[in-house]
Amino acid sequence: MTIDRIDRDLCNSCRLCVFTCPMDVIRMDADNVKAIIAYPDDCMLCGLCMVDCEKNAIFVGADRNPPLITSWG
Amino acid sequence: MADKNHIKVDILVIGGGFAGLFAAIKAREQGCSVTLVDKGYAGKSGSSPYAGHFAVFNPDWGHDFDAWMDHVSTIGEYVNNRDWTEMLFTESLDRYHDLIEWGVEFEHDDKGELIFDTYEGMVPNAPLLKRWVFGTVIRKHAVRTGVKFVNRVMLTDLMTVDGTVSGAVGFSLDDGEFRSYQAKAVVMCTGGGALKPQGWPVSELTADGEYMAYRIGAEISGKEFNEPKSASVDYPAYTMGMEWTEYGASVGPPPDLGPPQAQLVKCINSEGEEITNRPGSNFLELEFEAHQGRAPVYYRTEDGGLTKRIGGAATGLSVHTTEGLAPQSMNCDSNIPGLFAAGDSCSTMVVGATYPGIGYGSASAAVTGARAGLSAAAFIKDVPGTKIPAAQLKDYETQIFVPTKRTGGFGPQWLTQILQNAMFPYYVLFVKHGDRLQATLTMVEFMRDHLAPQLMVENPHDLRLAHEVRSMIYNAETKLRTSLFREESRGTHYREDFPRRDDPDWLAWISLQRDGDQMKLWKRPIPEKWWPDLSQPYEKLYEARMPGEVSEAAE
Repeated sequence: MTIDRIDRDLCNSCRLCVFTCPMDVIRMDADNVKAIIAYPDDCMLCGLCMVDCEKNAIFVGADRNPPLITSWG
Repeated sequence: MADKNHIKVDILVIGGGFAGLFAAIKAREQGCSVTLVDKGYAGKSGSSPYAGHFAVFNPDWGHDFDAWMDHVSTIGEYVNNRDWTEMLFTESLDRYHDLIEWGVEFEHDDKGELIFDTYEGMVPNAPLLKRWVFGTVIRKHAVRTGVKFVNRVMLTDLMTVDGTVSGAVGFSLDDGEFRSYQAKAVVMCTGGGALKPQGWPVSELTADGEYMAYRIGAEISGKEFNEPKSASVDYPAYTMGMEWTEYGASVGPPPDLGPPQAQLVKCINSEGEEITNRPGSNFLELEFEAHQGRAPVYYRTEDGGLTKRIGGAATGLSVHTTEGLAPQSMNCDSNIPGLFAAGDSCSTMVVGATYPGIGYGSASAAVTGARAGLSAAAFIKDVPGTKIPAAQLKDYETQIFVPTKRTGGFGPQWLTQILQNAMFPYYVLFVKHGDRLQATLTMVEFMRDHLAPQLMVENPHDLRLAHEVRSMIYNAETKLRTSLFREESRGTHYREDFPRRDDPDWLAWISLQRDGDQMKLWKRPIPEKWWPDLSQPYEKLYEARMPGEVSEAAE
C-alpha cells in the first residue's frame, strides 16, 4: 500500500508533492534538493502526488495486497 | 510573541477543503484578517480533492423543490434537518456562481452544454466538476482576496479565555516547533472522522477538529450513522482517487467502478443472488450478506467479469453533513462563543441517516462554509480580542509535546492498528448489537485511559500520528456510545437487537457533550411538523429492509 518510487532524475525539486501529500509521506532529501519517500507506510494511495507532478516523476503502484485489517475476508 | 510562528488574526480557519476555503474567502471579503491553517495543504485537503459533483438546485434546470425535499427526507429516513436541507437547495446556486466567478470549471459536452450526472432513483442531477484542479483554483482566488495560508501545521487544541474561543495551538510538521494562532473567532472545517480505513482516501480525516471542540465543551451530533463504502478485494488500498486519474489505466487496476451507491446495483452474493436495487437501500447490504454467511460479495463489471468487494472502506466516517459540531442556529455557530463550524465537521443533518445521491457533500460544504465565514465576520465586530496569558500558552505547549519527552511507551502506528482491529470488523459499526458495542467500548476505553497517555514519538511526523490516534479513539468512543444509545434501526444505523425503526421515539437526533470525565448523551427531538405521516404502512415509510425486521402485516 505504498507509493513506489520518485525518479530523482525527473524530479525538478518543485516541492509540490511535499505539499500535496495529505499524509506527509513525501519530504525533501537531506540536501533539501530532491523529493523522497520518507514515510511509505502512511501512503493512502490517493494519487494526488502523481496527478500534480509536472514531470511525471512519481509512481504509485496499486497491484499489491498489503497486510490489511478488513471487515471480513 | 509577534513572529511568524505566533500569529494574531481576526479569524482563524482550520482545514482547507471546500468549507474552509469558502469560509476564509467570505470572511476576508468582509474586511477581516484571515489565516487558514491546514495540517496538509489547503486545496488538497480532506475529501474535497476527490469530489466529482456539486449539487445545485436550480428551477431553471427543471428542478422540483418539493420533490427534492421529499427525496432527501425519504432516503434520509426523516432525520434530516429540513431547515438545512432547504438552505442547501436555496443557496447552492449562489455558491455555484461563486465557483464559476472564481474560475472553477465544470465539464461540458461537445456542444458546449453543461454535463449533468445522476444515478437511477436519485436526485440531484448534479453538474460535474472538472476534476482535480478546482481546489487549487479556489485557493488561488483566496490568495487574491488576501487570505493567509499556513501549510503543514497540525493544530491540536483550541484556546479559550473565560469560555470564549481565542484561537488554537499546534506544531509544525517540518520543524516540529510550537505554533499559536490567537484569533477572535475560529471556524472549524476539518471534515469528518474516519479511522484510516483501506479503500478510500480519508486517512487524514481523523476527527481532530471535533475532538478539539469536544474537549472545550462543544455539543457534538450525528455520530451513530455510517458511510458504508466498499472497495475491491484485489486492490484493497486502491482508492477512488486513482481510479479517476488519467494515470489510473497505466497503473493496472480495473476501470472506474462508480460510486458505492451505483456499485450496489451490480453486486451479487456468493450464491449468485442480486443483492439490491435502488431505491430502498441503506447501503449496508454487503454487510448484511456477510453476516448471513453469504460473502464474498462480487461486483459485476461491464464485461461480465466478477470482482470481490470488501466492506468498511470508510469505517469511522459518518454520512456527509451529519457528524460534527451541532450548529445552534442557521449561522453555523456552536454552543461555544467564537467557535463556528462548516462542511463535514458541522452536523447540519442536511441529508439524514443515509446519503441520498451525489454532490450533497461538496455543495453543503460550500453553503455552510460561506455562512460560517460571514457569521464569524459578524461576530468579531463586538469582540475586542483577548490576550492569552503566557503561562497558559506554555501549558498548551507542554501538553502537545508530552509524547516526545517519553523514553518508553507505545508507538502511534501500533495503537492505530489495534484500534482498527477493534473497530473495523463489520459486526461492530455496521451490524451492531448492544453486547458487541459494549464489549468494544470497554476495549476502546482501555486504549483511551491506558495506552494513549503512554504514546511515545521521536519526530514531528509521528507526533502528528500520536495526536491523530487520540482523536480517532475519541471518534470511536462517540460512535459506540451513540450507537448504544439509539435503540432502534434507521438508515445506516442498524441494530441487530433493535431491527425496526421506532417512531416516534427516535424521530430524534443524538447530541453528546463532555461532562467532566464523562461523555453525556441526550436526544434532540425532531419537530413534529417534519414527521412523516405515521399512519402510513411501515413498509411504505421505509423502503430499505433491515434483517430481522418483522413487518406489521406479519405480526
